[in-house]
Amino acid sequence: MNIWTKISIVVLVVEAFLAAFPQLFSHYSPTTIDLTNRLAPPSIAHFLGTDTLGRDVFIRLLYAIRYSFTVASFSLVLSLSIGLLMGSLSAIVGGFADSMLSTLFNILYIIPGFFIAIALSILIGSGLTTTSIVIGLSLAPIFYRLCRSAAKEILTQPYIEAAKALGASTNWIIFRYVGKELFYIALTTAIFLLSDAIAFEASLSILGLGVQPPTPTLGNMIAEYKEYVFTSPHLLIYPVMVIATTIASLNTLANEVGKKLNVLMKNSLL
Amino acid sequence: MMWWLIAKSIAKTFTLILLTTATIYLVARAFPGDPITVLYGEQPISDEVRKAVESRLGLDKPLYLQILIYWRRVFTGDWGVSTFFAKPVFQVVFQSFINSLKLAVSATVLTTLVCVLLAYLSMAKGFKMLSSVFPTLSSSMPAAVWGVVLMVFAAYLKIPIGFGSMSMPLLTLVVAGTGVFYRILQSLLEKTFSEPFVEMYKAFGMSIEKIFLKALRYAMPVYLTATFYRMGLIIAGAMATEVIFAYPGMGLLLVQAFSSRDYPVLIGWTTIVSVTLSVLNMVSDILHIYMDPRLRGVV
Repeated sequence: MNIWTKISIVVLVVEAFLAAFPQLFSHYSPTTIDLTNRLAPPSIAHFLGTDTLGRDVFIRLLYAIRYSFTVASFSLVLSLSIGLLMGSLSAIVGGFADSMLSTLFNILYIIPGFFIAIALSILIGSGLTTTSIVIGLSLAPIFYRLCRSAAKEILTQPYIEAAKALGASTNWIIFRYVGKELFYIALTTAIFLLSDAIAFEASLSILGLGVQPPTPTLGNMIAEYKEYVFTSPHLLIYPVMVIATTIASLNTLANEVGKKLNVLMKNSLL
Repeated sequence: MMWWLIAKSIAKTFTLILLTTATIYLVARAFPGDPITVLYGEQPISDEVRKAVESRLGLDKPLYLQILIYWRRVFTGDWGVSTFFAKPVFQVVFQSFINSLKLAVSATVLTTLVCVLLAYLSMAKGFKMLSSVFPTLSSSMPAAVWGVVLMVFAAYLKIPIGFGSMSMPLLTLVVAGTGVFYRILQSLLEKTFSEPFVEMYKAFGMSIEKIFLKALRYAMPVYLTATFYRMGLIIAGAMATEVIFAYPGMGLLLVQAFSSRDYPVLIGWTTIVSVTLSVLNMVSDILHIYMDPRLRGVV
């Protein structure tokens, strides 16, 4: 573990703590507008100043980290469960079910995430849940393909043969060998994709298809403040810095985990 | 053998496109509101006109026939009329598509060139620092956020930004893409350099530049597949970048169509993006078959 990995872990832990208890650090609300106090410079009262509507930037940033992380983790849990379940099913059952599921996930892969975002926001309304589902569905094919090919490879390993020869039941083989190994592989990929999920949320919000204002997320803050880039560019620096440090830390950590676990996919697609 | 594989890949893609457009149609039918407005745009509604349009779109027929009719419309370019632009949808979407394509192709080519250059500098010339710092920095932010950062730089340095021109989005995409592409290329090249055939070339006394080229040739098929694999995320980033710099591409069109609830354009937009993605997938498959002799059964 080198120095950068340690720094990354510290950054992520601090962010997680700030995001978990935002009210410990500031008594402002992230959505209260105070038009008499617009664009205040940083001070004791407002650590990072206030924005164009007089809202405290610091508390908004804390809540943004909180919501962005929530959306990213929820979407990963969703896509991981879908991909793991369907991918292993596909590999184990094979035949017709396999080709049906493969086609289904190919369609899901090809339909752009933005269309899923729009369709869901029209059908069930936009919000944190909708955005999580959108990102989850967009990432699910990646997990599906990974788990399917990994499960197929595991099933051809000699130790599976050995287990069969020793009289292990199919259920035992699936849960004890395939399931366990797949879970580690999928989990490592999930760490890799966590930064992609955060990036995807930012892209969605910048296009106005993500979580709607005034709920702060990292992408939302960028989307709102980029309108004032020529008059007050400093507002943009805070969310951009947070995104950059978060994603860089997550990538460093993911590389370290990937090296440690030395999983099948390490050299393949990520 | 090779032609058979290519034909199979084309047939698979075509089936996939048919299924995807049908899915899009079904999802769009579930949107609230009158299907004629959703699928075809506002019409001067008198009862006769409505009847005529309904029978033309086959809305009075069972669902599977409707899908057949929809497929015919997709392939004949009859995509309806935009409610916002008051022009045929195909015309509107195609114009933006060409603009986006120009941007995407130049960005991909430029990024790959930068990555190969970086890999060459680090592996053949020994500039390790340069080629590790830049990609790390680059991959720390998604394209959209890089766009905002470059915009802030421009604002502080008082450099005028040509909104609607290609230079800024192109710069953004190259800067943001280098990290992702380079990580893939580097790990592939490192793997290649540990292959026995590289050892052999070294033993022959081949120069490091030539070995690098050989390794590059060996790594390219997987590199292409890996980049195509991430195409969805790359396109998402590219569209957000277009919106930031008001470049008249698919991203901007999507935002306009969504904010004006222009359903025909939305559906046309989705169709063309899905078709592009599946065709790209197919091209990467075929390239793979072409570049890797083992897949053709030659070796």
